[in-house]
Amino acid sequence: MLVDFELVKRAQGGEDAAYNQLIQAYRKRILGTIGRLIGKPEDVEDVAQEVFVRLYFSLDQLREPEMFEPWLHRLTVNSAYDYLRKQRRRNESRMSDLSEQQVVMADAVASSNRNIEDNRKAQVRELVGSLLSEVSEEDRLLLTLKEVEGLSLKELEKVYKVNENALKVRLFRARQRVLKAFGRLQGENAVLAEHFTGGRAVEPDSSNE
Amino acid sequence: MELEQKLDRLFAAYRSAFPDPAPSAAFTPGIWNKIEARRRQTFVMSWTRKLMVASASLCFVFGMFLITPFPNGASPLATYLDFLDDEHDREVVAELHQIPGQTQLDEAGQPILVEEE
Repeated sequence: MLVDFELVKRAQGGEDAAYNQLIQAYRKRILGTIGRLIGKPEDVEDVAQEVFVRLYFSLDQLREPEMFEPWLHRLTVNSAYDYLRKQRRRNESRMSDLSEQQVVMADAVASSNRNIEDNRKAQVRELVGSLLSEVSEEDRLLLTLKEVEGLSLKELEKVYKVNENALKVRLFRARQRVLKAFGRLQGENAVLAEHFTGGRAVEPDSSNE
Repeated sequence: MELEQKLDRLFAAYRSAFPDPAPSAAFTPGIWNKIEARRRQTFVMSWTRKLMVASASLCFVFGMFLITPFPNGASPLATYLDFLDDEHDREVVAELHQIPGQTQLDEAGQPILVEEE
């Protein structure tokens, strides 16, 4: 817990200064979590602001201040989920306007403009993003919280208010689907997959330049 | 098994590809602006809802008033004159119905009582 319970209670009582302190304490962590959940750095601040706005208006419903962090996690997951759903609808309509070749060319131009390290990070993000697109938005968020954010099953139980066994089953199924997609990708492009999992940086593809 | 480990390494690489970013200077003020905007929106919405409930209640009350029959059988839309028409001497009512300029007079200049069909 990054803040004491007293501060949470003061914020619940409508003290704006206390709420401001809550924002200062958690904003960096929330920004990071949202970045990893949605995979779009450019939209992270907007979604994180939405989390804090929702927190402000729902804080009075929090009965036990000890549950503040799971509560905040739940709001984060919900906001990320809403964003992903909207994004999927937007992408469906936008991508349908472009031919496949145009999409590939747009990706290539974007890739060639980044430097090596940024390029590697962007490729990791794209690779994981495409693997996570194999599962539903709900499972994507759950898997990211467990595998990337490192939340324990106990913590996830508090966030989702679902019993541990049900979470284990969902996580297992989601991971199996991602593994299957990863295996397929390795079969198709072993060199690419090896670059990311072997810890070696990827040089930008000269054919794109 | 090897694939499982590779996936774990990929998730770890993903974690480091997304370090916790520093918020921009506009981040916190942006939150307060959004809170204020939503407060205003909530205020307007709550008043709109109250007005709608009040209008619906009034419509209901008037509707019930119009539908419910009067105990003596008179229509609630009847005017005072209709009421007199039913209850009082027809001659008195005829005099009350007379409108200057439209009244028919007999040869002696007395108003004519027009019998209703």
